[in-house]
Amino acid sequence: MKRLGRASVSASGLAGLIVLWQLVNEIHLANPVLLPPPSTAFRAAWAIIASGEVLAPLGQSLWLLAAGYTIAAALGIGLGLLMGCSRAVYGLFEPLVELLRPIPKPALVPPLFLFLGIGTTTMVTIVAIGCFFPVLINTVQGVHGIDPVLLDTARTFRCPRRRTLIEVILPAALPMILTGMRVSLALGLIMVVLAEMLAGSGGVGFLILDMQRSFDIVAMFAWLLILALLGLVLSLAFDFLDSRAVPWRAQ
Amino acid sequence: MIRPLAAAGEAGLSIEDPPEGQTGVAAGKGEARKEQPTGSIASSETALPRVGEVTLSLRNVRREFTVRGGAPMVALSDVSLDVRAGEFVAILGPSGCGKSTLLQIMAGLLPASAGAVTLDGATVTAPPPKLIYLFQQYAKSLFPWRTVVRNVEFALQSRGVERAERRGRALEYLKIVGLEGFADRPPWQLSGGMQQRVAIARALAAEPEVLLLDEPFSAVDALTRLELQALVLDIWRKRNLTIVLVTHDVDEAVFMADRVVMLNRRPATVSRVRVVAVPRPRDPITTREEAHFLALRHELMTELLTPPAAGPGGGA
Repeated sequence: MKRLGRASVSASGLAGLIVLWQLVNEIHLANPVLLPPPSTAFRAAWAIIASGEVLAPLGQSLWLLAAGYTIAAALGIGLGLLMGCSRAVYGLFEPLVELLRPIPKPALVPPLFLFLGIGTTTMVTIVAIGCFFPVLINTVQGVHGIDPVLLDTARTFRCPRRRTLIEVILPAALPMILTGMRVSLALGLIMVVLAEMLAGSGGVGFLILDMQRSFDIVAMFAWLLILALLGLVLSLAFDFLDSRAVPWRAQ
Repeated sequence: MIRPLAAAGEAGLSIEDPPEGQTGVAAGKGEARKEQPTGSIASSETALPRVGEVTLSLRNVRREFTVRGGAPMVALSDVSLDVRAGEFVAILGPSGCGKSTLLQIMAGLLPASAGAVTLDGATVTAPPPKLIYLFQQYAKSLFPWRTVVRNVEFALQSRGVERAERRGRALEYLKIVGLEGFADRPPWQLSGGMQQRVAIARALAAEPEVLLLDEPFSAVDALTRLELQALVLDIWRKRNLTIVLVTHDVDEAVFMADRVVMLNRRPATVSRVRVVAVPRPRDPITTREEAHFLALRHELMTELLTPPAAGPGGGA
């Protein structure tokens, strides 16, 4: 009941925005060429989806996201566990992380172009860099936040170090790691669009820019809607997997 | 060595019943464990628990903590204690007197600043295989990502039990604590008392000879506490365990233990040791009405409630 209420509030906010958009068109506040009415944009988006035209660009964007995100998660969790467990490793990397972390990641794109050229490698790297830090920081905090009772439990049962790392520390830090990965997912999508706009030859981000340049404004809005939908679906999917992976989070 | 089966115990006569014996005179525990039961349930139950040789020994244990930017704080100043095999010792003291610190040092979880702990003659520097520490905070000690039975299996893994055997063995330990029906539930869905039972089953699965209990019943409600106390006494008797219980509950200490070791306030030393000459098995109602129980409870309670005087064992 409560959930239903919250969902309907969210839905009405969305509906309000669309009504406002339609209204702007009705009273000719904006040039209808530059801002097509929502009905037109939605119809165009649906046409792209229904015709299957959406598949190739969507696949390209998702592949880029998956590649960058996976690399970032693997490196972030790996280094995060090491930094969390070892004072020496923490001391070694902590200043470096604190130096690089505050840099807005899009600012790293020009130097990356210089070193890696304009291509797939660069694009994956851009996404990976964007996703890396939230995973890393949350993993380190997750490990540091593990209750000493849990670690002492592993010790009293004489659990070897390696097994403790995999079977106690990693799952105990998992809720925090997933929180970081959730942040990274949103950042990853931003970086995908950025990379495609700057260096892409396909993908949803590329098409939004390409349609704008070729003055197919309706198509631009259609792809924008598809991008929004993609973000929503990814976020919901993540929440679902998160609740399956760490059902004890609420406890 | 001892199969984890409750069935034998339920029948009343168990080969795991500790045989009778005189305090301090009995043979070493290795032999004693193989001794045959006397056959008479009544005499077995009324006898004092059979106690063997010293197994866990503390010699002049001292522990200091360095607080940042301050002088070292002495938690334990000089504690010596011998625990005999098969004995149930309660360590009693006011909150914050360093009882848990002492227990963690016994468990090899915390190093002593000075002095030594030995288990069967070997100095304890890391958690020994025959000793398990049971935490007060069962909710933090159980692994929430593992089901109840998989939590118990964790202890079997450390003992090198084959993967295929683990579940069946773990279920036997769960049966001892009466939770075989909850094997596949996550622990956080269970009540506090049931979670502590899971922790007990997991501890038993490690087949320890010595069990260190750190205020194991202080986080559960009063009725559950009585049930858990009875369960632990039953397990202790049937499996011939050595138990050191840390508590601030005088009633609990006297009810459960053979011997109560009283610590005074920080920096802690042993202030007095009392033998609890109350017959076993202890009954939750009648034991608490016995004259000796009441007298001992009175004495220890008085000491606990006496405001701290400038003791001789003071901060060295």
